[in-house]
Amino acid sequence: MPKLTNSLEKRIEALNFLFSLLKPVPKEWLSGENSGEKSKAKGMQPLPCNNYRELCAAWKGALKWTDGLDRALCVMLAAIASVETLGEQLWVKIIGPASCGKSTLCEAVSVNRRYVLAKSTIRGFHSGYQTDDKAEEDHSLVALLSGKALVTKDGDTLLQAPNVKQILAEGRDLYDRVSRTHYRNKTSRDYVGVRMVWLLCGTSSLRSIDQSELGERFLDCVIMEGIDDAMEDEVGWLVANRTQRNLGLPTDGRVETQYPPELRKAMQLTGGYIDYLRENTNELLNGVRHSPEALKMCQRLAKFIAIMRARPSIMQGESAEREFSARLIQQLIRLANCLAIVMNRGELDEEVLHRVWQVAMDTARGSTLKLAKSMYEEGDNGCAIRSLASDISQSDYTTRNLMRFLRKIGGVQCFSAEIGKGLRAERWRLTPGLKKLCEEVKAFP
Amino acid sequence: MPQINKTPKSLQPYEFHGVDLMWDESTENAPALCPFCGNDNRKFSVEVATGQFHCWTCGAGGNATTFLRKLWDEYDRETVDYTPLARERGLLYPDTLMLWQVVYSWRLESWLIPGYGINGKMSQLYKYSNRLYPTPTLGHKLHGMNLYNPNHDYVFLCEGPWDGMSLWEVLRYAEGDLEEVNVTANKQNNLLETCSVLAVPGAMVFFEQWCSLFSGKNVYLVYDNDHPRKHPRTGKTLPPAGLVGMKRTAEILSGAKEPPAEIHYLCWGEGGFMSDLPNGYDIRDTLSTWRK
Repeated sequence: MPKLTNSLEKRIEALNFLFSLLKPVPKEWLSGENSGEKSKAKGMQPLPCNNYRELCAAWKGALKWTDGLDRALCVMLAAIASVETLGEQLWVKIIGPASCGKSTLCEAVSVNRRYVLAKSTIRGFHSGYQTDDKAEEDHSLVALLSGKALVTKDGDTLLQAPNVKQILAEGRDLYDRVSRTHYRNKTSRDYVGVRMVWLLCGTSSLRSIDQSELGERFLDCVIMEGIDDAMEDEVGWLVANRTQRNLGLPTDGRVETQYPPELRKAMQLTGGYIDYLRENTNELLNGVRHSPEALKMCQRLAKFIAIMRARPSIMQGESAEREFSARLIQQLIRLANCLAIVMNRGELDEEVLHRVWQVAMDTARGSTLKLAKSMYEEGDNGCAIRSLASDISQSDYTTRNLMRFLRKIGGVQCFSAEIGKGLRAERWRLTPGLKKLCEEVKAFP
Repeated sequence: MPQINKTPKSLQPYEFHGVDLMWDESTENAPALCPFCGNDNRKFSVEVATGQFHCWTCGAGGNATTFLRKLWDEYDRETVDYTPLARERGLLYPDTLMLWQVVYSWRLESWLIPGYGINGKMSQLYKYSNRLYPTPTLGHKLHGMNLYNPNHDYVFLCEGPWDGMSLWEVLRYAEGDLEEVNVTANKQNNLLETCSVLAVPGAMVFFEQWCSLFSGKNVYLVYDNDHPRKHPRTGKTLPPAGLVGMKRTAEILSGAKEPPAEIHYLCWGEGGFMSDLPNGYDIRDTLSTWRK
């Protein structure tokens, strides 16, 4: 290092020299993707796509495209498309076993950074962190979310957050599009008209937030419930071959090089398809025709879900109540219409309604559904508590409590049946109303 | 073989500043000699779970940042001669160091350079021992925030505090504009009346929460003249670190909600470096050694 000797005069000369080297930064330096969001990652660029069939073809070329994945992608796209339309928001849990393709779908929709915000872990939706005197700089996640879909690709991580209850409670608050907070540093944040959807992906453990008082904002979409042995072998063989084939592909740290070319294209097209859906949502939705039967089906499915996912309150034990089905009706009708535009259908046809039905059944899934199925199959003969307990792998005590709860909300009835000469026993069966509802929605075909 | 620091994170800032804490894995409160009142009855302790300290004798207490501020206050009360450090770092005036709030730690026998949050409050102390070492777990902070004026239209952002000080003390005696600068002794008319000087701890350190300081201003990024270098394993040529740092900073600044009015950078030469000047040649070197 040279010896440091310059006097002030010499330093002023040197300063003139330094100033002569100053230049405006080149334009390409300014084209970063850091606008607003504090993200350093540069992702793949979406490719234009306005046809669901083209999108599916790309996915079929990239991986073993199962019905479950197709349904999940449709539902995710429908939810994203619905962000800025009037009515209840479509929040969806995408549930599937580990390694079933959830993360791939999440990464695919996250290619579109304009309408999707992907976050693996969050510490809450609000922040009172203050970095300027007037607290004008908003560090809340809500500020980044408006008009976007929040994608959490591993909801199981979320469940491990120490403040998971707070996060979910903030989510509930935001669901209503209005949220007002105050912090202890005199900072307040009021949000009105926040439009967003939350796509929460994870394994079945996500159902732990299903207690109806917290989880009732979400619809469920199950990619695969159990693992089918034959399908696993088939997919496994494809994966083995693809892995061997791709071993020679170089990766240089850029996102584009982290995926095989076919998968990359499918993901980019998904990103582009989201652009198409979001830019044309209103025109597309206005073009969807519907029949009264389709609306009636959505209404009945919503009521069915409301009964099936009702649980005894863990917060209070004084009254037994279930959610009113109005929110679910809105959600299912919005889902049906958005699925129609995702699948390029002009009406709520059978295929669209079948997917809505599957989402409804996924959302209704749980102990109550199993009990209802057992009682539906037994008909008027009814079931004994022990047999029902065995069906849901719970103790007699727990099952009896659940049955009592269901009786209070009008789903089942208890009666005394003759089981032998002079012998009577307690039996449980569905109320005529619920039985009829099950038939209407074809819950147990 | 690198050593793994087994000290709990909450205790590391205290140990870094020479507090001899007694702790083991079952310790809830690690006692030590109080660095402020000197009580040796181990009435000073740090709670391992939270990192909060408290001295039951003098009443001092708070978190690690409070600890740094109290420590700085204590060192600042000591009279020290800044001349040797100013000479070593090539600064013209020892009071530059004083105004940048550099203090001497007799406990560590090192100089400490403060770092600040954007609220202007000190929240980091870097130990200078041939190079700068930040207090562990407290993150990197900006230098020069104590002298930053939000009303100034021009902000120079330097790489490292020594560059910042070196530029600042010359601007203090300079008048004119970026076209031509002359010497002045008039304090009302010097360039520091319109310009602020801030420094980042390193070329690749710039956080988006700092962007608000530069909003609507003319920003000048003046990082080092680093040469391209070879990657030690792949042999590939890596671009100059200073240039990459300026590019990264410009990208973050321009992507802010309220970006700067203009961003300029120090273009040392074609490709972002001047091969005639040594690798790592910086503002301080230029000001102290450059001749026509």
